[in-house]
Amino acid sequence: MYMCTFYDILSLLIRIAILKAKKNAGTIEKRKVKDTKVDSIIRNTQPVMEEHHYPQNKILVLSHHSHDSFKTQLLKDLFHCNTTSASIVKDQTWGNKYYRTCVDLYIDFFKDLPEWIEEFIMPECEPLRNVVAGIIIILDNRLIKPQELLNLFKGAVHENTFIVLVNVNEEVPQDEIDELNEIWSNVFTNIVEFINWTRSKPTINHNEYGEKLGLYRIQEIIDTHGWLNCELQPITTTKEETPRDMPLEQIITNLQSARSKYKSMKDNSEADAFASEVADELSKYL
Amino acid sequence: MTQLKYLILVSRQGKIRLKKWYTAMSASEKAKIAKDLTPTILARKPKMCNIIEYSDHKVVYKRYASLFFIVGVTPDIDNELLTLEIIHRFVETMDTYFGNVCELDIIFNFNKVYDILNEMIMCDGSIAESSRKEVLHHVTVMDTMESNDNLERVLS
Repeated sequence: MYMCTFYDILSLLIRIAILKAKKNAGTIEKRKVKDTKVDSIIRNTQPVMEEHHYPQNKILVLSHHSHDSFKTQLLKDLFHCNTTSASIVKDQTWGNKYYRTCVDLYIDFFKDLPEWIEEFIMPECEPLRNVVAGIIIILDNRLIKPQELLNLFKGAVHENTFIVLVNVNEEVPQDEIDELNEIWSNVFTNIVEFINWTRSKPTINHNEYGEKLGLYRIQEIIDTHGWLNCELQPITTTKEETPRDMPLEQIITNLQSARSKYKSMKDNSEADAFASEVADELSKYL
Repeated sequence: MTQLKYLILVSRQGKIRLKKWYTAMSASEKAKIAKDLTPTILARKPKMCNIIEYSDHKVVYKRYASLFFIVGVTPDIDNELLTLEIIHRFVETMDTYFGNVCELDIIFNFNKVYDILNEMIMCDGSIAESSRKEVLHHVTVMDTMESNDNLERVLS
């Protein structure tokens, strides 16, 4: 009898260790409890979308042909996507320490940006505009006047869509970009932000207020975006994985009571779910 | 002595990430304050003064990375510079708890942020605890209790 109990505890401990190892490797934790904390946060932070229920998970990236190299670099650095031509890249994973989600990249180019925008804001394109999470435009601030473009966008894009204008002209100082951000921050209900490509290097990616700059800022904008109608897979954060104190005797006692409860369960699937949940909870103390 | 009126946390894009009211106000008053202050403060240049007058009281704000911490203070009772220190202590505490706190941490752990704030400031807007170590200790104890509760729930 004693050997049997010891064997059961040992097997449970091994199971816990495997589970913990999986977690450490960054495995997505799909929680079985329906109303988890993260689920409720995601639900509460997403406004109800009455017009349609399609996931708003498309990110539009466009540039002039002459800036293709910047676009390629941006796609590679931000989305780990190696596409060089205009195309649609489906099911790209966007992730951070709290969630992962799938995004579709719509990669395009323009010859004349105002013309491109005029086509984009036509009524025929409304279904597309409604599923666009964000628009990233790579341009030269010296050649294109941002205010002309943004006025075209005003009122046409979905209110939850972010617009990022990435300046690639090295002669444009950060002060000028900051000034544009100050001017445009209150004009739109959408998130509109000007980014300076040259500040993407790790040594200069923060300003004096600790704000992220360059590509790091784009990453932050996408991270904090409210993904409408999208499925976000929660990731167990490292904060929750911090081992907590519980005496070994208490762990053994809990395992024994869990074992007896497991044995008393008649429904196999319910018992397995219980064992998995116990292993999950107890692993936090090991 | 401090008697804060409210604390609002706003992102650079004007999205409100946290709100805490320490005086009784109607929903419309609260909405008006949030609606008025957000664009006013976001439009201010970095070198401008961190203290502004609004309605019948003063507002102290501080920018940390992409977040603006906005606090309404009671005239003649609150010290504006002390309020700036309270904001800074709040940010420092969150920084220690989350490890270099960012906007995403606040979005996904807003309950923890409220816990930290509740440990620091009482419901009437006065300071309850100024020690970062004590605040973090209390929050960690709450985390442990919550975790134990989860285990108890599973085993019961």
